[in-house]
Amino acid sequence: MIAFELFIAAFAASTLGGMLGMAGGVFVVPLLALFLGVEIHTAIAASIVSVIACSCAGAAPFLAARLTNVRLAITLEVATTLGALTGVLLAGLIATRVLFGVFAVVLAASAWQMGSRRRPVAVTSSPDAHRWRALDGRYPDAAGELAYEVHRLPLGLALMYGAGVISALLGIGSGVLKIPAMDSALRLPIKVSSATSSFMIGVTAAASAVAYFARGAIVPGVAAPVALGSVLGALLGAKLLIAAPGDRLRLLFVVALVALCAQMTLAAFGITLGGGGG
Amino acid sequence: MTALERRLARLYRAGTYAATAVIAVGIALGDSAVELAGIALMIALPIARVALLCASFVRARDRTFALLAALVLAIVAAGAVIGAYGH
Repeated sequence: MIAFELFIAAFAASTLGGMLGMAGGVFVVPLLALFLGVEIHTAIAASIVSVIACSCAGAAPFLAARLTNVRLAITLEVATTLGALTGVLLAGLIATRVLFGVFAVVLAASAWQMGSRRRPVAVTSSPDAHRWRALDGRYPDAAGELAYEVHRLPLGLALMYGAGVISALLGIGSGVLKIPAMDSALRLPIKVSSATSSFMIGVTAAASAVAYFARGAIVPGVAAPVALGSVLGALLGAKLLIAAPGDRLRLLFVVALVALCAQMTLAAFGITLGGGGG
Repeated sequence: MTALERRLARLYRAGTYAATAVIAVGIALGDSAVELAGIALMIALPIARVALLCASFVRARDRTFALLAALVLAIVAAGAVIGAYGH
C-alpha cells in the first residue's frame, strides 16, 4: 500500500531531521522521487507541506526557550517569501532533469555543511558599522542574559532571498542557505540563529505551499500521509535530539546525504537505480 | 516567556494537533477532501502566526514591524494569485 510507504518514508526522514534540528525535506523528496516512483513535482509539493508540519511541531519549544528573535524573523521573512514566489515561478519553467541536478548540488552542500562543524562567531561590537538596533536582542545563556547585535542586514536579506528560491523550487526548508546567512552575515549566536531560522521556515514554505495548493499541485493521496509521518517523526526526532551522541549521528547524516546526492546526480543524467524508477 | 510568545506557542501546538488530526481522519476515511482540508489547515498555521504578530505590532504602535508583517502577508496572498492564475 503506497500510502503506508509514504508515511514510513516521511516518518523516517523527519525523525532523522528532527534529531539534528532540521526539517526532513532534504530527505523526503529524494525518497519519494527516487525510491517510491512519485513524480518529482508532486514530491516537491508534498514535501513543502511536510516542511511546514515539521516547523510547526518544532516551534513551541524554541519559543518557550526565548531564543527566537521575532522582529528579525519578520524582517527576513520579507526576503524569504519573495524568494519563494520566485521559486514557484521558476519551478514551472525548469526541466525535470535540471531539477534533479540542482537538488544534487544542494545535497552536496548540505553534506559539506553537516561535515564541517558550525563554529560560534566571535561577538564583536563595532558601533560604527552597526545600524540595525531595532533588531538587536537578548537571550538566556548559562552565564545569564546575553545581548547580541545584528550585522550586515543587506547581505543577510540577499542570502535569505536565495534560501526562499531554493526552498520553493526543491520543497525543502533550505537551512543550508539560512544557516550561513545567520552565522556569517548577521553574526548571530548559534542558538538564536537555529531558533529564528526554524521559526521562519514555516512562513517561507507556506508562501510556496499556498501557490502550489492554488495550482492544484498538492496531491492529497501523497501529501496527507507524508504530512502525518512528518509531524510524528519531527516530534520523535526532537525527543531523541537530547539523548543522541552528536558526532556519530552527523557522520551517518553525511553518508546518507552523499548517497542520495549520487543517486540524484545519476537521475539528472537520466539513469535510475532505485526500486520505484521515477 | 512574554505573553506574545506564549500565545504563539499555544497557536502552534493547538494548530499542529488539529491539522494532524484532520489529516489522519482523512486518511482513515479515504476521503481526499478531508485530507486537503487538513493540509490547508497546516499551511494556514504559519500565516496565522504572521497575522497575530502583525496585530500585536499594531497594538504596540510599532509601525515599522507592523508594516513588515503586513508586507509578508501580502506576498503570501500574491503567491495564491500566482498559483491560481499563473501557468
